[in-house]
Amino acid sequence: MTEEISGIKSKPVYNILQYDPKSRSNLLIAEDDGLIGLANLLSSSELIPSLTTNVMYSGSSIEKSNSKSYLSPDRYNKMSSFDSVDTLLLALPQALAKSQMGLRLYICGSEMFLWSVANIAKAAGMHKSEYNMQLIGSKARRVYCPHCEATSEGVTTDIHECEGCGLSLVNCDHFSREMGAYLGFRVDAEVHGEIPERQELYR
Amino acid sequence: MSTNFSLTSRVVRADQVTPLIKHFSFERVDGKPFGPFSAGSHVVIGMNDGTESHKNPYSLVGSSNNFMEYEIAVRLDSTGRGGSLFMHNNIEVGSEIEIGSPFNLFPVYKPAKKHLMIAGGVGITPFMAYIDEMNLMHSNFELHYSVRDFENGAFAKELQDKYPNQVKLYIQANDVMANFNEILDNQPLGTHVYVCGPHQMVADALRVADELGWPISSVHSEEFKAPDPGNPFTVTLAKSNREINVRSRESLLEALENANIEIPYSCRGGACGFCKTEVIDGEINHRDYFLTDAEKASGKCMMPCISRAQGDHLTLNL
Repeated sequence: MTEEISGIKSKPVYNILQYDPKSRSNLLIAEDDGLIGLANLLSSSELIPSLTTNVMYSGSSIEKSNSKSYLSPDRYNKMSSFDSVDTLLLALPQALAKSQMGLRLYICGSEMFLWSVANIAKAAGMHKSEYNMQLIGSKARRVYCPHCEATSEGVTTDIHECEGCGLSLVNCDHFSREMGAYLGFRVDAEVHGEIPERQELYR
Repeated sequence: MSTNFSLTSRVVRADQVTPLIKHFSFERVDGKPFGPFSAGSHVVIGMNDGTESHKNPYSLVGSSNNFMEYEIAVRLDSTGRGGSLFMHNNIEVGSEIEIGSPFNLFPVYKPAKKHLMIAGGVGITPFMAYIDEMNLMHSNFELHYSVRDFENGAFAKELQDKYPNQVKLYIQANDVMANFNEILDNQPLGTHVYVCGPHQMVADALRVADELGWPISSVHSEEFKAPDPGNPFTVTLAKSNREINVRSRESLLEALENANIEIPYSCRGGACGFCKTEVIDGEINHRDYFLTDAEKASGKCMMPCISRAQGDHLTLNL
């Protein structure tokens, strides 16, 4: 998958998951169709079978009953399935707290999912070189409102109403890794009330 | 730059803590507090032994919350260039010396979940300030400290008494060696490791960390190198049209300073990069840790604190 380059340096560019030969244990995390990325990674010949490799998955689009057979079972040790992304994200800090240095994360899913996981990894003391992300799924954005400091989830249009203050925000490609969110700002900042028609940009 | 102040200070305590290590406390002659510093910082001590002036960097070993006193610990190097010998033989309570402003090349990474320190010999010094800070912040820390024998382990007893569960001593005379594989394996996610000690020890610890999958961002090290002597050489200063001689036992930086040429500096050991100087002509004997291999190969710049001429002449853009 090639990402268009917007000219804004902070906009993340995602690649195919790459196995890190320095890893001493692996944790693969995906939602929905992100499982495809994990399956490709697990079939990599570079993966060292003697290392512990665990999987955390939350999915609806691929039947959960199939997800185990979708990944070749001899390529991982343990798979934990979750009913929702929220329950997966709640379980992740505990899983990381029990982990040791040398762990690498491989994350695959929608853009909001990638950064939700990345922020938990960071809070657990991981550096960005210790996790690897691939975008498969929705590009819907998390957008930060500098006027009220709320973040809106799942934004798919160029202009949206902030979930916090209700102002119409235009979202731009400036991305904060700290917050895992794009920056929005008031579209009618100059002339209040002049709000252009919104367009869907991503799904 | 690091040389932005030099404070005349007086020794208020001087204790021989091991046969080779002397622990000094200083206060400012004007009675004012020193500036704040962060754990891991070093200062450059300026002294004159009557024939030569010396500027040696030392880690601050005292509490970073004590602004009234700066503390250092100096290991005697009797085969060295004379700075540590002078500190041991001539600096006593009441002596006055110059202290430069602190600079930190080895800071604590505060967001780490756990701090793992590996020290060898006098490499304990930055960790004295670390541990004080970590204790105050209630951080999770562990110190693995290798010493030749108990008598030569500076601060070993006080550290062990104060932090019996966090400090592990390895006494080489008793054949107890630190095993970096054991120390670095199975450390919790989010741990940062800090290594300070002899060159080989630092290299070994860094290699093991890499093998165990530690990312570079979680691995920190510091080693100060005193400038080794070398052949004497001459230097032409292209801009000021001067010629100076560098003697065998002095560094190029010292020779420039003696000729009243001000070069910014901090670590004086080839690590910080402050004194990087442009070279116009002559082959360089690079001895620093700072320049990249490509920069070294270009022959266009050098670190005069530690590097010298390969031949008998260099031309600098000064």
